[in-house]
Amino acid sequence: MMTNWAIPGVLVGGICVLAIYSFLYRENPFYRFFEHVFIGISAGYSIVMGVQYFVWPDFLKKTFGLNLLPWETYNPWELLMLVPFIYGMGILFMLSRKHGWIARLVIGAGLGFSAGMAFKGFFAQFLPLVVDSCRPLVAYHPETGALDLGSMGEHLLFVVTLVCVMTYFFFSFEHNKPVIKQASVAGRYLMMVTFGAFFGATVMARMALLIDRLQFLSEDWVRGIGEFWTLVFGG
Amino acid sequence: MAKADRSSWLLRIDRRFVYLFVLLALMIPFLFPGLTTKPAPLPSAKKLFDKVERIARERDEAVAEGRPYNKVVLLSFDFGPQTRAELYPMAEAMIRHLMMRKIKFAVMTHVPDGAGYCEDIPNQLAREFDDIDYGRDYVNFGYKVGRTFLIKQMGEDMAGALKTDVKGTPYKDIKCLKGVQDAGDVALMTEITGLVGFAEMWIQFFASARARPDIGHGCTSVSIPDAFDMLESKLIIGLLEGIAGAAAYNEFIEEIRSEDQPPTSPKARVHMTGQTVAHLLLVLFVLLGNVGVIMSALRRRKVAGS
Repeated sequence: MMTNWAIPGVLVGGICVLAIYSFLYRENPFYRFFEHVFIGISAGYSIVMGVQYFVWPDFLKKTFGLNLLPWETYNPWELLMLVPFIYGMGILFMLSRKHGWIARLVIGAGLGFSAGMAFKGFFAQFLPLVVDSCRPLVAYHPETGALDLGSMGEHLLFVVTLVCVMTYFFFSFEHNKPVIKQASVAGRYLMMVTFGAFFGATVMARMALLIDRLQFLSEDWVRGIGEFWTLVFGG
Repeated sequence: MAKADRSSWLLRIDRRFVYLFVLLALMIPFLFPGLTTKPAPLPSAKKLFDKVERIARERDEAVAEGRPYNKVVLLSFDFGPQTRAELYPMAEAMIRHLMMRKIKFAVMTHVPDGAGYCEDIPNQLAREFDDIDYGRDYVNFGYKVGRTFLIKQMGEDMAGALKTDVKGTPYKDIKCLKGVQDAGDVALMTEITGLVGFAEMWIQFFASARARPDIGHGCTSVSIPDAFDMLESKLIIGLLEGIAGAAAYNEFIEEIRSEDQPPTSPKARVHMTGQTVAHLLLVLFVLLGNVGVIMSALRRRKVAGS
């Protein structure tokens, strides 16, 4: 049994889903209207969440001592939070032709921070990937100590794929030597296999979204209609 | 030419018929609820499941030996309605497992859309279990801004980075986080997202001077090929692969569930069945399309030869 407040939400939700899926038939104003509604709601929701979860509790309340209990004393050093705030607000000067340089200072600082973080992140993430790419072509079973043919085949396939795909992306010389040409062609085909996997995965994801909406329509929405009918017209 | 057109009717099927067939295929598990298939036991999902089991064992051993055990599991639900279909069931499955094993955990999100799920999923599941309480067993930090910078700070100083939970309780007063100071006190971090670069943020920056926690990942089907890089190179210890991962995880939970514990949600299994039927249908369509192309080519060659 849904609460009375939940019923309108479920009913509107069902209409929204049908409106968006009506695009599968053809482009239509019903779809276009709800697309704009969705974008508007998303943007508005993000702003409200930003204020509710960050601007109000972590910035305004703290900086101006609005969260203090009667017996607590305000620490004026909290006002230092205004320095990065004012600096950050400088980005709004990008709207001004005369003072646009102020916005560039803010963007420059942001780029500097991001570049530094990306540098650290590169080593933390990509070095393990590079190290992992060096795989032994002769592998032994960790428990029995015998040759592990399964792992050897897997490693060989991995190394061949890696070399072929990298050869394809060597553009510093012409691929006219037979070995390089064949490795490059093999690299292209191996990448196409990967794209096939990507395509299959994408289809799988889209199906999952559709199934979820179908379940919503066939269970929640139908029940919502029934309960709305009971509520308005009686059992 | 007219003959060639007649032979290639397979290539001219209106896409709306294809949609209609897919729709009917996907409706099968809803129309016949008994017709669900058992999901494949995915090894990548099993690794994550086993990690949670190991945490429970380590905690029990520590308690039995009288040692303090202050570690928690951290979950980040960085998804919204767009990817809810795949990610909600896996978030639900993981939290159910943590609650079954009474492992303390914290949830948070880096995206505004995720705040509702951080609230709903643990609270709804806590109602199914008799002895799980907010604050003592789990905590919700809701939406936190800062992303990379926040994660970096969390790695070194959890209290300084997270400050308060959604109810405004200061970090130091949250019971389940007593003794949790930095990334070294996190037994497992799991990022559930369909967004590119979010799992990578944790891999790159969530570490303290003394330890880097194990990281698990739940992703949408679209990002599975990307996520496999991280799994193969052991940057993550386990992976939930789309709805199939969620369905497999639920099956693992069912295997260890006792009579007095609430059952898992059948949703992931129903979704998986619908998807299986739709995949078979799509394979059929791809084959038919190829037959159409070959027939059309043969017909053209025949016409050109005559």
